[in-house]
Amino acid sequence: MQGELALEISELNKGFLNHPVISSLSAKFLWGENVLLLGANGAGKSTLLRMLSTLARPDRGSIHLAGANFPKGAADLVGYLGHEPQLYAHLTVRENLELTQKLRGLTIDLSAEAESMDLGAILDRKVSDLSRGMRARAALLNVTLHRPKVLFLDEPTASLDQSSVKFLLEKLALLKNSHNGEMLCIIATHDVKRLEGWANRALVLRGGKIAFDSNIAQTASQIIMLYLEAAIAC
Amino acid sequence: MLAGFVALLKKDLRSELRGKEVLILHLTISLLLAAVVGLGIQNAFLTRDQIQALSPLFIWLIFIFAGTVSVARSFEYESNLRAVDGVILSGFPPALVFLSKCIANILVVLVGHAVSVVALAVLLNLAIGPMIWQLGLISLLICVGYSALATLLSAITSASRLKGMLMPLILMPLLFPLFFGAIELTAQLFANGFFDFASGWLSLILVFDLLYLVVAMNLFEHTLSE
Repeated sequence: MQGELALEISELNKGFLNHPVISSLSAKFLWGENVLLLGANGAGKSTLLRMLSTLARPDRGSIHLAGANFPKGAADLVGYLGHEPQLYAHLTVRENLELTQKLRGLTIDLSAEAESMDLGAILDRKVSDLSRGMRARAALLNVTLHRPKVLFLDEPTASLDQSSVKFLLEKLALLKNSHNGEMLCIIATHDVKRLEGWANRALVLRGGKIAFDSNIAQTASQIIMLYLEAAIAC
Repeated sequence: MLAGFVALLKKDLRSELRGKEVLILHLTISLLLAAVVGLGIQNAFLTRDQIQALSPLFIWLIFIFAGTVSVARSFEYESNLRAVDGVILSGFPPALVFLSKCIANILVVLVGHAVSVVALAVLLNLAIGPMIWQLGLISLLICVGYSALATLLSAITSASRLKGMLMPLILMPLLFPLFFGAIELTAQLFANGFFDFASGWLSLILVFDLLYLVVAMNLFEHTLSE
């Protein structure tokens, strides 16, 4: 149900070579929330998202997703797209999508899905031959093929022009509508300005801890100001 | 599950057939080493019997050197664009992801090995025709154990900037049992025209094949998560 607890993180810790990246981080996320995860480089945004998507293991702490102990059921519920498109460069877009379809046991019409993302014309082109923007579009389709209810995107707008960002947000809205609004989406980004209006919560990380958390709608300039204040305060 | 495994295997073979990074490297190094051995031995004034006695060593030395350099690159198809992340996130059993990658590597290494053995047979004037099936069986068994270990180690070392150095340093000592078994059985084959199926060396190879395969399948999952 929208507004109910979707994801709970308790005392999460993660470090690399004795260098703490995430320190005793706790947070709760509700169904229906669109969250911007902000913070300077090295603040722990990517590490946090990789842990929440099961790609990295926390050193300590717990994660509860949809009431179940993580990572039970996470593969069906969660979609994650990192900095790279997570596609095989030597395969075509269609072959990559077919691989995901077979691994997840999905019965969907790939051509129709590709058309919905304006990818019909490049379905049979190799990923290595695609532009960055087209790769990003194919990657988004690939990670949302199973209609995840929880979606983590790590700097998805980094290589996109304004129209592609608009396209991305439209697709996220469509995906959310398909779940009747019961979807949690967390986007790690530095690009607050272009995601204005999309988020209803902003969370700022600094030194692996939450420096600022606002669950009210903010304008981009307000979020940037709060982000800077939090950064200076820490 | 079966459809997913077949899809993974197709992906691994397609990636290799299109990228050709492992196969071409393996073939080139194998042929170059075979040429060096073949041409070098002709200047060593050895008798035909001496050359035949030394040939198992040459065959397997070439196999190990070519394999170690080429298979080390096999995980680059996975790490490029972080493609393997998509497979992990699908929740498909990592042991089967490993098995698919291992089978693809076995096929590539077998093709490279077959070419190098034929090249060596021509250059050293070895009559391998009558013993081709038994030599093929030894090669298959060695390729299974070798690929299991090399696939795991290529995944472990893929993130390291020292991977070119780490891979042979870790792989070669672990290959000693297979390597000795292969040389002994091939020497028997070249000397008698057959090898003894009750040989302890064959049992040793089978045991290490199984050991490397089971250990690698179980450890692979841990190499993927951070």
